[in-house]
Amino acid sequence: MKKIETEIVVIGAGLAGTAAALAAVKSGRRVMVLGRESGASAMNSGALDIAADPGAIPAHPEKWSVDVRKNIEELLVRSPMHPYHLIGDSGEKILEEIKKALALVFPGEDHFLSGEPGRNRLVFNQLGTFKQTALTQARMLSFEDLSRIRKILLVDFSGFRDFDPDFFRRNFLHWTDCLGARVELAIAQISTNGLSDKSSLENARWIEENFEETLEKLKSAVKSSAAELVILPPVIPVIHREELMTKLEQEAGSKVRELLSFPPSVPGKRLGDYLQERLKQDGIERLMGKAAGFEANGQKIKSVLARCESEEVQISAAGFVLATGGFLAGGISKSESFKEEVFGLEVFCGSEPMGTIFTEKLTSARLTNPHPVFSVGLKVSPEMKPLDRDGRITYENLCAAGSVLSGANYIFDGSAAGASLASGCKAGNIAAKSL
Amino acid sequence: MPEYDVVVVGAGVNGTGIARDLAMRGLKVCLVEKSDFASGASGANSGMIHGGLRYLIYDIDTAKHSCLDSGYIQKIVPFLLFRLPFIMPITSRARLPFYETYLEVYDKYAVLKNGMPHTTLSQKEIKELVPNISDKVKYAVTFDEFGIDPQRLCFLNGASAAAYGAEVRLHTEVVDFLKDSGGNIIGVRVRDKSGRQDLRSRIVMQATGPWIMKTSSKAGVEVKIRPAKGTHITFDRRLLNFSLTLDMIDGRNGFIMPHENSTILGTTDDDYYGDPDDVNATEDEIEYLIQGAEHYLPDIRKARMIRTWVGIRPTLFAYGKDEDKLSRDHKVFDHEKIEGVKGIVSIAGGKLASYRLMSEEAADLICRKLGVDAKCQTHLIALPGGERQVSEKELAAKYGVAQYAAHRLVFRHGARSEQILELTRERPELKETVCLCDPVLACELVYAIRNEYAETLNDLRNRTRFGTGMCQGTRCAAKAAAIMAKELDLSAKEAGESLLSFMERRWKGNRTVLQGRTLEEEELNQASYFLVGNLNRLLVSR
Repeated sequence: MKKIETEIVVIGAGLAGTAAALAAVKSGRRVMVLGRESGASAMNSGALDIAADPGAIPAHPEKWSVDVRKNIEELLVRSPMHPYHLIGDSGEKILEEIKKALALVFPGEDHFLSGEPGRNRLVFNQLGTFKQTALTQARMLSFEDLSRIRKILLVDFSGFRDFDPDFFRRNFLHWTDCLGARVELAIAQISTNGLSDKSSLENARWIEENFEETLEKLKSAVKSSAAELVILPPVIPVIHREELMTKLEQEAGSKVRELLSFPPSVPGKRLGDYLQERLKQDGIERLMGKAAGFEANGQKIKSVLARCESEEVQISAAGFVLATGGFLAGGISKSESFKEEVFGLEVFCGSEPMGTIFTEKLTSARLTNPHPVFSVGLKVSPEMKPLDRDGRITYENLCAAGSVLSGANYIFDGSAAGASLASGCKAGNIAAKSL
Repeated sequence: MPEYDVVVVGAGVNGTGIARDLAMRGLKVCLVEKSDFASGASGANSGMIHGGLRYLIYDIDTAKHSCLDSGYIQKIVPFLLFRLPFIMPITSRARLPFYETYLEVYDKYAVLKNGMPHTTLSQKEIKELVPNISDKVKYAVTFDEFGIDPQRLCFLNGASAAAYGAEVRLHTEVVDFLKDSGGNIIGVRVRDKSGRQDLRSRIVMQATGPWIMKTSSKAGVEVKIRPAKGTHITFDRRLLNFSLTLDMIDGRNGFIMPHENSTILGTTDDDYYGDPDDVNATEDEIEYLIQGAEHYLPDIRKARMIRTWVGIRPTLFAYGKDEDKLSRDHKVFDHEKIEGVKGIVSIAGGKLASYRLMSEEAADLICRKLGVDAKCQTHLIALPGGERQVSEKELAAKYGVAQYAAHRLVFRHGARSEQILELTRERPELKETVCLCDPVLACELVYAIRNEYAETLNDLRNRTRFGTGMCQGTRCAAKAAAIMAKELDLSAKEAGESLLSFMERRWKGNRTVLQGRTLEEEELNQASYFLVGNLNRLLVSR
């Protein structure tokens, strides 16, 4: 077994883990990030949520609050265990911390993101419906893009099985009409020769490999349509995206936008790759693998065991940050009882320790209500240290951040990115300073 | 006002069976159903056309009728049945002779339904057939039953009734009964999405299963049943290739059996006093079933549960008897004779395997009342698709689809599979696999919408098994919604609401088994349709 030493180990390579690692490095620490290739970022749709309107009245988007600061304050009142409570006690302070974290993870010169952290927009997805979110990857289609636009061209790549242009049009025309926009939508099918019935990732790979050909086809379709806006399904490649969209905009003379995606997604893959790149830029060591065990001496963790593709690696460090996410990401599992996968930490729902429980008890009979099961996770001290059921700190050199924390229901709160970034930064800073 | 000879209420296996029988005898029939075909007990049973081995002891007529009629069902709808070899595990040598004798008796009836005679297995032989079985199983006896897709069976009976001229009205609820001055029934008042309507009929046939006490009280007649709840668990994949009978902790019999791409564990049998429209599996029922299975299959807790489902048996009333000992016999209620109320007949009790015989009995009574002397032909004429055999291999080659997909298609549609695949001639894109778990092709969905009365995604699920596999629709629901929206020209709102109801039904089934991968899958589903698709905030759920 290989042995490595570093100062801080961050487990998890998603938004929270990346924020923690970057924060710790900024404080002058040596950091290593352990996690799967792109972590749960592949589940990202292309939007980075900070806070949806917790009191949004269904079917009345015109009444939804777009003020993120206000939404965070409302969330603090409604969710007494939300991780935002760990970041600050006012919407303003929390938003401030999120902005700092954003500046750290997405420095801005590269224009990877667009939008303002403090204001929600309505952003469209591959179904033709929309959601409220503050930030997205650049050039995702929001309602604002439709102002003074009438003629739209929707591109349909023939090999993409999870996109139905007719269904998109049906939904899109209905919802834009509800929002007061009158648009016309034409459809252009771009043939992905030899590729049929394939996922978004496979389509993106095909487009990447046939980049020039696809660009030409797109250009001629757009030119002949005389559309003012072009909508692309979420299969736009990772490497050539900027080039493809810029060239198309310049040469065809219309605005080009992409749609949010269902997970797992191409925008998610792009986010994962972006985060990897950020770690590299800041000189953070990266180990691809899964945390499969640990060694502790009393209340102090000594090392974690990483199971990598071809070997096992023991990483010793002075500080550890756990940012492994929820069920889908693999940070927490549930069989008869809930389990935190790396350190076997106590799992809570709200402030209640869970142990063995019939999951149905943590759900609502009404599907569209929030289900507490999706907000289970770790309870931490104000210093981000996981607590046991008696309220004692489990390991003094372990912090936790992101969706592995209890209290946030990201599906309903629309707060995943904000909470991950801010808690990640805080955990990284604490880990760095307490050495 | 439309006038009929008979309005049949309820499109379960009895309602559709009776409607078919009457329509074949030339009567003018209207079949009315508040939800979809097989939406009650007929769609939530174990899917077995079985002889009821356990009834042999105290209910020999039921066992015999079931075996005899099972033979007829095999003749009229051969494609929809599959042989289910059962293994009955025995842990002590002392009990072996009893079971052998027992099955020798059953063998006499089993031939009526083309079942093989029983065999006795050694421990070594059992291990070869079911490698994951517990070491405490020392012997086993085998017997043969037949499995069926009960939802298709109901649909096919309904479709056949329609082919003989019956009117089929789904999503149409009977809200009241029309009565003459003497309190006799002369029709029903129904409600569907377009409003209320009165239907006149000479006879109203109540085949409303567990809802029969509710509907009877509106009609002013009494049908007493003792509703009993039967809970099942579906596991992902085939955990075994043979069915096992299980001795449960209370001495009752349970079973675990492979069904299509999954495994079914069942069932409970408990008195149920609640609302048949609002019934779900409970924690202790699930534990009871798992414990029973674990006794024979020690690894069962590692298997992935994907959903639970519940049926309410409309068992005939009896006081002072254990649920399990209640007769599975059926009864046709002639309310003119019982209460002096003319124009209404009811049916209750019975089991899936003898539906045809029960329907015949009810249809005979109605015909006597109406002075019609046509004879029953339901055991002689094939159900739609059963007219001739088709080769799945030839179909797959002719239309260029996977043989595995053709196999599933033929299982559900028999000879009609050809008409379904014919849709792909004009639109080759309909060869696309919509549901990857089972697999279901786009052309089958289109066919169900055009020819099988499917109006919602839940209707589609009932007809084709789309969305019933491991992912429970995460990947295919939006796709099916797109196909449906196009075929029926649905508005965005209608299509979205159909998606939401589909997800609500899924939730009802998997909310009770949210753990392991099933919990992750549900998170993915809600992240897709709610967090990204935002359906929970764009639509108001009903």
